[in-house]
Amino acid sequence: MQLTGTTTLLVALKAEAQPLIDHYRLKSVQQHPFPIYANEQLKIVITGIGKCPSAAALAHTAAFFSILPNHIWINFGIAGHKDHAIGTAVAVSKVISKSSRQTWYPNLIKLPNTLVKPLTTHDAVVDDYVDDTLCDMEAAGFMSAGSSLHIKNECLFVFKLISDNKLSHAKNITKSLVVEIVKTHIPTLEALIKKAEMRVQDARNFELELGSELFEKWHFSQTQKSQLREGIRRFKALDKQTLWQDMELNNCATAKDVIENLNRRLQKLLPKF
Amino acid sequence: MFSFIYVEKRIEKHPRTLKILSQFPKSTVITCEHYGEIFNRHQQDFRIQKKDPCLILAEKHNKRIMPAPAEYGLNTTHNYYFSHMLNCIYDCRYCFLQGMFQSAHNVIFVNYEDFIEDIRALAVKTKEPMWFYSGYDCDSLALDPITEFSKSFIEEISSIDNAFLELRTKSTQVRKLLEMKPRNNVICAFSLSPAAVIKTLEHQTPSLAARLSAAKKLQLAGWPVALRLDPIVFIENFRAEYTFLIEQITEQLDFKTLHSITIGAFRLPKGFFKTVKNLYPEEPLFSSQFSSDNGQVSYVKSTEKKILDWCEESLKNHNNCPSIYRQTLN
Repeated sequence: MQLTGTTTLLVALKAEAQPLIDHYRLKSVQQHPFPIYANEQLKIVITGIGKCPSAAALAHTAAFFSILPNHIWINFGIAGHKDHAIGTAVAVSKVISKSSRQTWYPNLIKLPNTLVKPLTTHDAVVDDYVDDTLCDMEAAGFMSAGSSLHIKNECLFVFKLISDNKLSHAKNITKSLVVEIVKTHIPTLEALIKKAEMRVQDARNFELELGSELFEKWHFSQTQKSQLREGIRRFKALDKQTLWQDMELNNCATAKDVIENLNRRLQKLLPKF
Repeated sequence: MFSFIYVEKRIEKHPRTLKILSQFPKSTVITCEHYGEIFNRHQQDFRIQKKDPCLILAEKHNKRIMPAPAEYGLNTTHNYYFSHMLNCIYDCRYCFLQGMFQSAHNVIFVNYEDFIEDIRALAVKTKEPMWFYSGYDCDSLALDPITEFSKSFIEEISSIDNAFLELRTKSTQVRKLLEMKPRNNVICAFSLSPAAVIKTLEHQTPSLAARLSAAKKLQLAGWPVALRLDPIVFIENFRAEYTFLIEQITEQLDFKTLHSITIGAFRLPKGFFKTVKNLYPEEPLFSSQFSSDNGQVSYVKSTEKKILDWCEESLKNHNNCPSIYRQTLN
């Protein structure tokens, strides 16, 4: 499956995903084991409720789809808090697993009209709202899987919308309420995605395109392949005007000739004392 | 300046924490147990973080004052370094901190009193001069208006008879020093580079003119000032660029009263070089001709020698040249 989306949202419920699927006109690309909707830029994975499904969905998506370096992962959805009004947007600063007491610090980006709060992931629905943290059932699974898969911390975000509080418990959450609060915050979510994308953008660009097409024309040993890659990197760094592909290589009989040719070009680019 | 500030729980009521936080009323404060939870954990990307680093306020528990690496001092016997901060607000492409830390966040250790106590404890062990260098893991003065580092440390350390303090900086934040009486045992060492190097490699740093102006103000006020041409970068038109730099130095500053000038060509520990090159593969600096010796990457020996010989000679061509120290890899 060749999707090159640059951001993936993991949500627990279809109701959390539906307003986004409609807004971004996402197409269904998979139904099992996790429903996935996507366009070229964005993927939404419906993970189901709980830490394990959330972790499994992240691992599945990372394993089975073409994910670019510095892909952005966002755990998005509803959460409870004792005081905050329903519909409040919260960027999560710290995720605590209630059962294991493990903690993670997701990345943060300053967003308009958005609080910054820690969150506790519980194993079951809670209605006592004891402390000043948000409560959900997925974020710890998401962060734990992200960490295990060596996803850069700068690429992991947890963004929640308050759906229940001391005055209106979780049992009062309806599908239409969820759809409504998600719809309201699409612009904020979009701002998060755009800012996150911008941060990683230039770190992404240079990781592409390092001469693998030459491997088909000449036989390179592993050492020569790495010499070639390093040579092309240096050439691109030192001469930003010339395409390395424009180098005259047709006279080269062997891979060794190609590398020597490249090294001669590099010598000419270096300053002389 | 900082959107988010992490504060260790145990120092959230520390007077210095409160004072620093009061200068960032728009920042969001997040408490943590230990700065290591945020700083330098695995799977961080220095380059991405550098675009919007956070500030972390923490307490330094141990290893506050460390013996300085052999090549670090000014031909003196007892050399130590300390860092009240980790990382730097500037973004110099050659900086070894990019290779040393996985995190680009800025840490300030607020327990200055513990650092000073450790310095006092070390200084009483000998009557010989003892040098303490600040600015190894950070720029000593770049955040001085916020940290009040200079005020807190200079007053204490200058009262120790055999202690010398060197503050290494690229910043122009000398106001707090100018408010104080100059001390003979406190040297402010400015890192200078040609404008072309500043433009291409020392991102977000003050201009050469601004640095020279700050150094001149300190000289006029009676403070000992040292200069550091380190790292010297072998750029296109190397001689012309560095000749012009040396001319500007001799024109702007009182050359005769400079404490010293340290010169050193660009070099990095091998592991750090690899990390930084992977972070910025498109950077021309990391595409020069280097050699790798004793775990260090530097210009090939013959080039390095030519660079340093030429710089030393060019400096000595001017009258009243102060002591010149070379920082090389032995």
